[in-house]
Amino acid sequence: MNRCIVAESSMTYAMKVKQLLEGHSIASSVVRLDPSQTKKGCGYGVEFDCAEYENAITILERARIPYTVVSGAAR
Amino acid sequence: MITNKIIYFDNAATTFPKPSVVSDEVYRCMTEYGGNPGRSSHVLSSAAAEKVYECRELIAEMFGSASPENVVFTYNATYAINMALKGVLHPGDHVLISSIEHNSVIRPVHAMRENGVEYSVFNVSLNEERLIKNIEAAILPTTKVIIVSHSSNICGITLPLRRIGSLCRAHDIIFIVDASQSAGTRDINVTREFIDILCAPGHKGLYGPQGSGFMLVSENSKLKVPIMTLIEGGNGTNSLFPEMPDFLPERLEAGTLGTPAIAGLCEGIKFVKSIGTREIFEHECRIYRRIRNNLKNIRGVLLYADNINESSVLIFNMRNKSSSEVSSRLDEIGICTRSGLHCSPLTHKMLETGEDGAVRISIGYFNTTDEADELCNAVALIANG
Repeated sequence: MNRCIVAESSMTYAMKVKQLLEGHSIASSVVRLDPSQTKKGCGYGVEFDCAEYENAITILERARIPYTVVSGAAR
Repeated sequence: MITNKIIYFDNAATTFPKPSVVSDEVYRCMTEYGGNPGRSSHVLSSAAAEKVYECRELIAEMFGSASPENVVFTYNATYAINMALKGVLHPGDHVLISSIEHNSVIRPVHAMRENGVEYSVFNVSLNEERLIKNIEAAILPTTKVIIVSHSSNICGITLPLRRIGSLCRAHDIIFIVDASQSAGTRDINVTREFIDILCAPGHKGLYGPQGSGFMLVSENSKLKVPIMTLIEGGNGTNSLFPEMPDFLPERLEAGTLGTPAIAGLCEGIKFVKSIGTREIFEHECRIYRRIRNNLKNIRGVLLYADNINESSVLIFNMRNKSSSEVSSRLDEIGICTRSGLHCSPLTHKMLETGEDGAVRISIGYFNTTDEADELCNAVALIANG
C-alpha cells in the first residue's frame, strides 16, 4: 500500500484533517514531518492510503482546509 | 487532610467537589499518556494531542461553533479575557463594559488607558428594553468592543446575549462575553448570539480542574485581522520563523499547554453534557429558592436582589455583623461561603451592599436540600447569637 501525506499548518489542523477523513471512512494517521518537508520548520502531516488520494483531496477542498501535498499520487 | 464534614457553598469561585471522572482522568493523563502535545509524534505525545483535540471539539460543539481549531486554551477566564481585550483593542479605541463586570474585565480595561484605550460603563437594568437603550446611548464612534459578563457572580442578573450581540452586529462592534458564571449552566451559542469571542473558565460550571480555561473565537466573527498576541513562544508550529503563526489556536498558545487540566476539563464537559445544562441549572435554582425563602424569615438578615427567581448565587448581610465575621462563623461550623466584594465592586455598589460587601452563597450541582437547610439553620444560629 502506498502512503500519501498532506502537510498541515499545525498539530491541531492535522487532528482536524484526521477526524474529517476518518468521518469519510478513510483511515489516516498524524505524522511528524521534517523541517525540510514543510519549509516552515517543525510540522505535522496526515498520512493515508494513496488509493484514497482523490477522495481525500476533494474532502479537504470542500471543507476549505489548507494543505500542502508532501507525498501524493497522480490525480 | 480535611476529614470533618464540609458543606461547600462557594461554587462561584470554583466548583467543588469535582466529579470523580475528572480527577481520574487527570491522574490517568499524568501517569499513562501525558506527553507534550504538538511537540513530537511518539505515542505519548500523540495520545496527549488527541485528548487536547477532543476537548477542543467538545467546547466548540457545546458553544455552537463548528471550528474546534478556534478554541484557545488558557489557564482561566481572566487570562482569556485579557487575551481577547488586549488582542483586539488599539490606541484610540473605546470599549464599553457593563456595571456588573468582575475585576477580570475592569482591571484590564483600566490598565489599557495608559495605552490610549478608553472605556466607559453602561448601567445594567433588569428591564431589557431599558438595558438596550442604556447600551445604545453609551456607544461612541470609536467603540470597538462591548464586553459583558453573561451572569453576575454575586446575584442572579443575567444579560440577554442575543439582543446585545445583535446590537453589536448592527454597529460593527466586536462582542466579547465573559461566561465565567454561566458556562455549563446556561445554553450559550456563539453563532446564534452573535458573539465574536467567548471567554470561560474550565473549573467552574464545566467542572474541570483549576488551571483550565479557554477562549472561543466564532468562525462568523467580524474580526478582520489576527488577534494580537499577549505572549509569544514555541508551540511546535512554523518553528523556522520568529513570528507567531497567523492562525488559531497556535497563534495564541505559546509554551506547553496544561494538558492534565485540559484532560480533566474534557471529562468535566462530558459530565455536564450527561446531565444537561438546563437540569444542572434547575437543580441549583431549586436550592437557591429554598435558601432564599428560609433566610427571608430570619430576623436581622438582609438579602440583596432576591426578587430574581432563577439564580445560583445569593448575597446577604446580617445586622451589626460584618460579612467577614459571618463568613468566618459559618466556616467554624464547617460551611464554606465567601465574604467581601467578590472582585465585583461595581455590582456591590449597584446593590448598595456597603463597603464591607456581603456574604455570598453560591450553589453547585452537588449541593443538596439538606445542606441548604443546615446552612439556613447556621445563619439563624449566628443571627440569634
